Amino acid sequence: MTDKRIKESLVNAIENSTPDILDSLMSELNITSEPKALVRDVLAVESGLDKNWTRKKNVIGGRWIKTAMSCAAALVFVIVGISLYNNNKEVFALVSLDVNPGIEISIDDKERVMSANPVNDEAEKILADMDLKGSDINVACNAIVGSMLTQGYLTELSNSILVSVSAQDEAAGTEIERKLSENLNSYLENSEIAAAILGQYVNDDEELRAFAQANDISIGKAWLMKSLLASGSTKMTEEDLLKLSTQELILLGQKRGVTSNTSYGDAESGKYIGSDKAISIALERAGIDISQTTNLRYEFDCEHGVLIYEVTFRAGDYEYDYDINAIDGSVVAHEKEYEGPPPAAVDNSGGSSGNASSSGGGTGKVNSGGNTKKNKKKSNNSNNQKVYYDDDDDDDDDWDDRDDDRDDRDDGDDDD
Amino acid sequence: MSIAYVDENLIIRMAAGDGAAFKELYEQTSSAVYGFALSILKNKHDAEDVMHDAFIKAYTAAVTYKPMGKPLAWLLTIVRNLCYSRIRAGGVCEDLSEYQDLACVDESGNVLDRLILQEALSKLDFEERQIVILHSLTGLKHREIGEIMDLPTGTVLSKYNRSLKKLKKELEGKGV
Repeated sequence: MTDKRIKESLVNAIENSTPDILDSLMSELNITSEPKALVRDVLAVESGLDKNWTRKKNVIGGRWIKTAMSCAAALVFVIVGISLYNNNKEVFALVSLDVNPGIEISIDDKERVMSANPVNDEAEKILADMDLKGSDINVACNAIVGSMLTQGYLTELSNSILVSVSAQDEAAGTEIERKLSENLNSYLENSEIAAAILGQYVNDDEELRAFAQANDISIGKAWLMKSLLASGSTKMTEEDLLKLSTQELILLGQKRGVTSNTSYGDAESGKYIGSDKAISIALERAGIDISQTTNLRYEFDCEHGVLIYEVTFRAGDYEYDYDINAIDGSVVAHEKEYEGPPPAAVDNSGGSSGNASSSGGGTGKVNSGGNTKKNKKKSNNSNNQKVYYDDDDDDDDDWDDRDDDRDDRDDGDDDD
Repeated sequence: MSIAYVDENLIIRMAAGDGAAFKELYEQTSSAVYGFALSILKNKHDAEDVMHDAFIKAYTAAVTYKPMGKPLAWLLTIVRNLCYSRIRAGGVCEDLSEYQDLACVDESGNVLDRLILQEALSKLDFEERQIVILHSLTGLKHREIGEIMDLPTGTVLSKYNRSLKKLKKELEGKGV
């Protein structure tokens, strides 16, 4: 019996025993094998053909298609706030729901919908056939989220909902957000997905609104970006964050402990490799066993529009810093810095330590002269072995323990 | 047989609600999805349930897929996660006896083929079963299988070789 014959038999036996469930799946998903108009749009865009089919351009536009093709994540944002840019004085608050689709809803003082407006083209699809005017805001949100569920924007892998509040009266706005979040959580408890809801109060202002409008995002999403930029990362830029899906932004917000009023569940992170894996990749790459390290820690961050685990640890006289792509585990960048005694104290071996660093992967670097400050700052931690990689990387406390001297780090020249 | 290079556009088209893309993906990968689930769970009813859930999830989660040139790995990772959830939930008989294993295989198909599948499911360990079946059904490289299973390539390779030797020995013992 040859290997080939064994493998052929396995293939035959499994193919013969594979059940045929295609029809039931398609029926359950309510799809047919006939291409939809939207698909023709995508294919036409891909092939550069003219579009000449019948549908409302403002419902499914080219920008929506591009977004769909970029596989944007499903997300729900709820924003409640005083509508400052709506001159209608009867508007009491502005509610925005984003599931990458972003919807802003004005409500009156009885919390009834006055108007619902999409902030992007995906949202137009969600709102297409809905007449929400006069509905209670809770009912309206349930209807919108229900549509997002059935249209596949809110799934087990993309499960996060952000509830953001902006109001002239912060207490009133916060209370509306709390009630809406609670209501949505109850509503989603009956669905099959384990949703995560994050609530935040938004300090709305002209600058934030201009940024949101310029980028076709809701004010809540813009506020979350602003909060992330203020969360202590030296890597993130506004441009990077605009590349992320709303799910990724919320996950980043949860991981980095961005403040929120309300929180239910955890943003799904199953598609990411996890901190354990990131740490093992970094250690393997450095050729160092975990027992040799001290002050091992990680941070979930964003660099150049890609989510990364930044793994940092000390081994011997060196501090290592690896940026690991959170999805595919590739090493995005790494750095190795001499952190040992000042050069004078290691006079006899100073030359050899420099060489050792250079050979350690080619991009390692020793700033023997310039490290005094960093060395001093980090000395407090040098005896603490902090390994934050229990079950998952969702322990917000981790972030509180990070030392904050990242300003000293060089960047940009160590790309792998 | 090799389905290692499933067209990534199928997932992207599925994200846009294209039923034809779903059908095409199903036809290309259903045996690999079922076989992989069977190799983990050793129970055809559970494997069929996971197969169902995996395709539903693949369709509904297609919007979250990021093109990285690995659509099959993405799909099989969904399968693996669903299997593990099922095992964690305690709904799977993980330690089937040899007799129960016979129930894993349909009555259709060649008797020798079925015997070999039974031997693979009953005599190989948890990881060996997955490696041999994934390699046979998908044509994925050892490195790619390692990525799906979170194992180093060297481990996959050595387990693969050991598994085939073990299977051959078992089959020789049965006079095959």
